[in-house]
Amino acid sequence: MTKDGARIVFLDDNEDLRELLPALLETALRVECLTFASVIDFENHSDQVLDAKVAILDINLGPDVPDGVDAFNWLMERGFRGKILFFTGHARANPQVALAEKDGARILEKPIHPDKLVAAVRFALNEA
Amino acid sequence: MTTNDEDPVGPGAAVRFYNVRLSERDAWFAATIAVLFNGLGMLIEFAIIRKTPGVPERPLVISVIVAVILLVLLFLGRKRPSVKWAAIIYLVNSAAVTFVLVSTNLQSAIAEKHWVPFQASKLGCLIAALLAPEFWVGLVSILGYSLSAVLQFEYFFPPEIQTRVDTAEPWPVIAFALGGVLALIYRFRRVKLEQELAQIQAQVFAIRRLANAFLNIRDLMNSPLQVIELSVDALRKSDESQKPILDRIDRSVQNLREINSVLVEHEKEIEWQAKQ
Repeated sequence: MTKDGARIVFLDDNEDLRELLPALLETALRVECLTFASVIDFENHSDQVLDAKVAILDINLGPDVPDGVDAFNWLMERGFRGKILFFTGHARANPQVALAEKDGARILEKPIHPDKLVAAVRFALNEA
Repeated sequence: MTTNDEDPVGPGAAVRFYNVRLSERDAWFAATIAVLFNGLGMLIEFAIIRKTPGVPERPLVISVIVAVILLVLLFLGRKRPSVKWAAIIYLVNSAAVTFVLVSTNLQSAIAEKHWVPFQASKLGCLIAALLAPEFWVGLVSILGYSLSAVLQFEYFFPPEIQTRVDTAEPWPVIAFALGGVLALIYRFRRVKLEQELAQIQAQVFAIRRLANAFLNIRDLMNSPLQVIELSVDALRKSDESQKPILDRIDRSVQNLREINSVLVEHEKEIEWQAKQ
């Protein structure tokens, strides 16, 4: 079961992924998907972000800029009630991500098959 | 005739403590301290023997002049220190000190009623253990200080002087020489361990850097791979023009090519470290 009209927010510095992933999720799950390239942009849209059911966060967003873990902490500080998915290449090597996992965040390791990605996001939407 | 530039203690060979090389700077600094010790020590000795009639002053003056010349050489060469020249300077300094001691011991023994024999030679054995810039240089210096004292005592001291001074001699000098040699061995073994530890730390640092680099590369590779996965999926499901999707695939393949060039750079780094 999917939740029509639900909102997903997606944070990733890869422009192609910011186009492809929403297209996939909007088609498969009939959800609204907002994308952000940086944590600053993410935080500047706090109303829309905090209202989302699922937040999908890349971790490494480029050199010398806040990363996905910073975005996770920002969401937790503001009482985000949706589900958080880390969508990254080397989450297991990051101890902060391991801590975030204890706080209920889940990890999706790139590259993931589109069907599995959709299934994981659907599951998170149902849980939210 | 060809010259062989290969280091006999090359990479992979087990370096014995007696082959351990101090760094150029450490060797230079050690030689400088030893020469300073000679110069200042001789000035103090000069003040002492002025109150002791019969002890010649000239050897001390010569030794101080040698120390000053060596200090000038050390100062001039401080920007380009070398272990070889530090060793040569150290040996010249030790020879100058030994010359002074051999030249003044007998007169001191005669002139001073309560002369404690070969104090400076014993001190020289310990200083050599602490400051010699190379193991063999330290060993030669210790042998020089101790053998000159033993031989002088045994063959050049009159029997009445031998009887008057410490009857235990020359054994105390030999004991100091032995102590000096053991301390020298201990010091160079310790330097060897420190150098091995530094090498291991450098390797660990390089491996950590490489591990981080490969983690970053994995992260960089995974986004283009994900783009390709999603694009192919979209391509299969799409009836529309496929040009934008193909463009994305091209961009991702280009990203992977760039990442490959990063990997090549790190391969070079690994090869370079393997040669060290």
